[in-house]
Amino acid sequence: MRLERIYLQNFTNYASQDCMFGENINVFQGENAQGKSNFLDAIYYLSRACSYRHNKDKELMRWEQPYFRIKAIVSQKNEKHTITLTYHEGKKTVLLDETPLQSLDQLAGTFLTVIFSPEDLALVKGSPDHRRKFLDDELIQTDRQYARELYRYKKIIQQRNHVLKTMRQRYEEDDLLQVYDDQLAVCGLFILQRRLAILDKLNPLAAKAHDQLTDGKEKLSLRYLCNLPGDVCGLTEKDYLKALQERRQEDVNRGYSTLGPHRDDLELTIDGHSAKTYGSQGQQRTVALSLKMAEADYIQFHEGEYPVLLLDDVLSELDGTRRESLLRLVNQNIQTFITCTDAEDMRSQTLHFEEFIIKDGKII
Amino acid sequence: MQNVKAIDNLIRQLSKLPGIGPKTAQRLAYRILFMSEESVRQMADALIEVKETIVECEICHNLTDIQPCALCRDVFRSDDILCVLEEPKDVLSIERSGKFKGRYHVLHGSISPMENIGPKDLRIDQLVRRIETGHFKEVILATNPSVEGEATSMYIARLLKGKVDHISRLAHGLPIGGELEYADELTLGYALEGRKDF
Repeated sequence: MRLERIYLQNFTNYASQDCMFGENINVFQGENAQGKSNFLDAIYYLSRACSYRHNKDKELMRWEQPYFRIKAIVSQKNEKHTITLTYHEGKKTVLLDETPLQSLDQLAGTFLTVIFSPEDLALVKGSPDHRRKFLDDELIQTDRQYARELYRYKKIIQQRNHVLKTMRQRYEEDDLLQVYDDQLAVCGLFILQRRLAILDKLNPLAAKAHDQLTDGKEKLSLRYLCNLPGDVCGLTEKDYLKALQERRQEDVNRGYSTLGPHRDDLELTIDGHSAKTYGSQGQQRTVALSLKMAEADYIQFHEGEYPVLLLDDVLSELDGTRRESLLRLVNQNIQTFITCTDAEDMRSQTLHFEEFIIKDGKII
Repeated sequence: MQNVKAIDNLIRQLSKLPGIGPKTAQRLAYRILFMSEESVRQMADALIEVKETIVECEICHNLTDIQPCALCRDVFRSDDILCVLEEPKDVLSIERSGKFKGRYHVLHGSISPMENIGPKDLRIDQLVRRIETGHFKEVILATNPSVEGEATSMYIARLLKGKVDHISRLAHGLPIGGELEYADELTLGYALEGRKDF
């Protein structure tokens, strides 16, 4: 996938900016607070119709402007498409090839990106929900049934938790709880199996990326930590129901559901040791980066084409060798956008890149 | 333009309705203002009348202006089969299909502990009593395919187990006139699972 051209209007600190890009590495250089990450955010916005830095679209509008618009020409398997996203009066509209889309989901898959930003360190260092979200995001993008089942699963858990809370305070609702257990066993098992299946594919990809980034010095391994008892691969609906039954009293006492994929985790180990506990800051960052590279590889495997890679302020965090390995890795047919304060680090490399200098919401 | 108190009040009343935001309410209010007095009176009377005359049928709990309702009185309908629905408007949908000639039971919602709607808040006890005292051979649970609708059906199925010969569920499937190419993969999956012999 390629981003050929982008036109921003009233997006964050950009009043009006038209820009064309190179096929491989594009570097946005500039001082702090000039709008480098905002530019990456605009590219990210094209792929998911939401920002990675702001929760509200309203916050993406340029100061005192009534709307923002991002228009782009992208190419997918050598076919060109135009995407136009407009936010106006609290409403988002998408045009794909000048035709309005009924819903934002229909944009999915047209233009795929993988982003790596300093916050992604939480993938290694943070709580389990970051790692679950990493797996879920992969699946949601490539599997619509998973997206729907995950939504259902979360709803069932919410309903079940409410029953558990009222049971603690007031009346007995064993029959109703059993209904939610029956629903959970079907839906939860589906979630679990899909997560295990994608992990089987991501594991060797992450190991390969990590091997390349560390010059073969470290071995990364991913393992799914399931909180249901027994062998997770051979788990059946019956086992699931039995486990829920056994845990019921504790669930009632606590007032929430303690068992199931919403409490699972992903274990990341370097040479057999937990990256979260024993990894250095630099190692943890490299692990997070390896996961992201695995994500890009997975999309390539699934869609037949690499996504566009967005690297926000990554180079400054890596040592010279890892930096060099990363650039070598992305320089194989992946269009990449990198932000940095100083492109000198890259000039020492023998690779070709397009350079854009960003100053105060303008590319100069 | 400075708004007038009576118009403001009308706008506020109209925005209580679902799907009506402040802008639509304003448009409707001005529309009403420029209607003839007679039409406005008819509209107001209709609002009052609906509230004063419409009650829940004591048998099926559908909305009606006679007790019991016309569907429960209809002697040509079968007393063997009962269709359980979430909302009164669902009765209209099933009736429009013209395929169902049994009796109805309206629950008035679905179980959702999150919104503090438990089994006791729906017409489920009445349903169980109806099954116990009636001669139904089959109950069709036609709740929505949402988490809440499914849970409601599963809950009722547990309660009715052993009390009626046959409990069934509506099938998921392809829309008539649709092309396979355009069906979403989930619907298609369900349609495959629920396929029928030729």
